[in-house]
Amino acid sequence: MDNTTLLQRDTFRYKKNKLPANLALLGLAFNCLYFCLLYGIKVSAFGDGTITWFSNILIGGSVILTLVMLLTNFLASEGIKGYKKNYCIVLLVLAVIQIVRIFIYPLYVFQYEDFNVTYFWIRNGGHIFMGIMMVIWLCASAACLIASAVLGYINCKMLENHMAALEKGEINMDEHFAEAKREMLGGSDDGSSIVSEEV
Amino acid sequence: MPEVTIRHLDKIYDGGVQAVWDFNLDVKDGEFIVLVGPSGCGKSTTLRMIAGLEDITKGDLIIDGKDCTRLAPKDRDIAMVFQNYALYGHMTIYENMAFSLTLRKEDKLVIHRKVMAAAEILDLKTQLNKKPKQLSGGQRQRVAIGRAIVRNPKVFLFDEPLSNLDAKLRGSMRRELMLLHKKLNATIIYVTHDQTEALTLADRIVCMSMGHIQQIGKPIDLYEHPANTFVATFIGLPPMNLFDGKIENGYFVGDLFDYPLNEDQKRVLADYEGKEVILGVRPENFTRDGHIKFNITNNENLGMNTLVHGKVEGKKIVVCKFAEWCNYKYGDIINLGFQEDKMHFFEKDPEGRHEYQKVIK
Repeated sequence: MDNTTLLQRDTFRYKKNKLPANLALLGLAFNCLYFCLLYGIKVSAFGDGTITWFSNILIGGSVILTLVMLLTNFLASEGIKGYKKNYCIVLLVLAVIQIVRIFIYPLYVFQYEDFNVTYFWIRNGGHIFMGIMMVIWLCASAACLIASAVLGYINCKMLENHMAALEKGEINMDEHFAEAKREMLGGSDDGSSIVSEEV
Repeated sequence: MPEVTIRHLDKIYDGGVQAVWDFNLDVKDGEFIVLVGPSGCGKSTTLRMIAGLEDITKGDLIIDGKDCTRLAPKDRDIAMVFQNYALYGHMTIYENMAFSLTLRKEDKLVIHRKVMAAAEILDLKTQLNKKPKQLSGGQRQRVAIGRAIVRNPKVFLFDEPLSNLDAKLRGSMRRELMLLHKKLNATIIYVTHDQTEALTLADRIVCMSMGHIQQIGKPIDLYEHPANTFVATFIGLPPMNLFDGKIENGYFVGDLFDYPLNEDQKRVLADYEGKEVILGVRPENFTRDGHIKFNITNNENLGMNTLVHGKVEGKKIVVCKFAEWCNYKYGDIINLGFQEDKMHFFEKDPEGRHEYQKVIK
C-alpha cells in the first residue's frame, strides 16, 4: 500500500463518513418527493370511487410506513457517518422497500386513467406523467441508498482494517508525520513532549 | 535582519483617544518578547495592530522585510492565540486545528500531516475526536496553539493566553509555552499583565504604561535596573518599597529616617546634593541589622521565605521578604537596614508625577 492511500485511510480516523451519509440523506429527500406525489392522489380513486374503511387504513398505513422509513433513513445516515457498519444493511433494506414500492402506487396510477390528483401541474401533465415522476423519485431514492450502503461499507471496512493494522503494530503512522513535525520544529526533533504534567 | 520591526507606532481612536504613543521595537528571529503592563496601557492594542485587527494610525510595521502596515491580517503570515481560545464548539479538535488550512484550500493529506504533527508536539493525539467542551482549559489552550502552529507562521501573537486558567494550570502551561518556544524556535510576541509570566517567559520584556514604553530589556535588567519608579513597582512581587527624601552631606535624609551613603552612592549622587530623590528597596533587599525602626503588623510564612508587613517609624507601610521561616507577631519591632548594592535612587519629578521618576545611574 502506498503512502497516499495509507494517509487517506488514516484521515478516516478523524473525519466523518460524510459522502455515504449525504447520499443517504439525498435518498431521504427523494423519498419525500415521492410521498408528496403520493398524497396528492385521492386514494378513493383506487377502487370504486368512494372512501371506505379500507382506503382509510391504506392511507394510515402508508403514512406510518413513510414516517418510519424517513426516521430509519435519517438514523442510518447518522450511523454511517460514524462508521457503523451495521447501518449499511439498514440502508440496503430501505433501498429494497423503495424498489418494491415502484410496483405498488405508480402502477396503480398507470392503470387508472380517471383518478383524481390534487396537484395542478401533475393534472396538466396527465396520469402517465405522474406515474413516471413517482417511478423516477423511487428509483433515485433506491439508487442513493444503495450507493450510500456500498460506499459506507467500503469505508467502514477500510477504517476497520486500518485500525486493526495500527493496533497490531503492522503500520506506524508516526513515521509519516515525522517530516511535517521536523518542519514545524525547524529541523530538530528530540522526540520529547512539551507536556510536563497532566493539565 | 530583525523578524519584526515596529517604528513610531501610534494608535489614535476615532474619539481622539491615543492608546499607543511612539512605539518602537525590533524583534529578532526566534525571540520571545513579552509586552507587560497594567490594564489599559496599550499592550493589547499594540498586539492587535501587529495582527492587523486594529488600523495603525501612524508608523510602520515591517515583518520579515515586508511592509505590513496596511496589509490585511491574512496576508501578514502571523498567527494569533486569544485568551478565550476562540475554538469552534461544533467542530472536533482535529477539525478546529485543520480549519485555517482548509480555508486556504490546502491538500487534504498535507492538512492531515500537519495536524497530526502538531497534535503530537502538543500531546493532543488522543483528544482529536473530542469537542472543545470535553477538554480542560489547558488542553483547549493547547488546541488554540496547535491551530496556530499548523500554519507555520512567521510570528506568533499571544494575547493573554493563560488568563482564563487557574493558578496551577497557569504554571504548567507557562512551562509548556517555554518548551514550545524552544522547540519551535518561533518568534513570539506575548501580551500579559502578569509580571510572573513576563519574567519567566521573556527573552526581552517591553514594559508599558499609559500607551508609552517605559523600558525594554531582559527580565533581569528590568528587575535589577528599573528605568523608573513605574517599572520598579510594577515588576517584582511584592513591589519595590519607595521612600521620599533628599541627599544631604553624604546622607539620604528621608521623611522617616536618615541613611548614610557609601562611596559609590556618594559619587553617583554628587549632582543631587540638596535635591529631592526617591530611594527604592526591594522587599528581599532589607537586612535586620540597621537602625530603622520597623513595627511589624503581619507575618506571612510562604515556606521558603516570609513576607513581613509593617510600618517604618510607625508611619510608612513597607513589605520585607526574609529568606527563612519567621515567627514575628503583631507589635514586634525590628531594626531594618538595606543591602547597599541593591539600593535604587530615582530623580524626583518636580511636577510630582510620582510614577515615572527616572532612575539615577
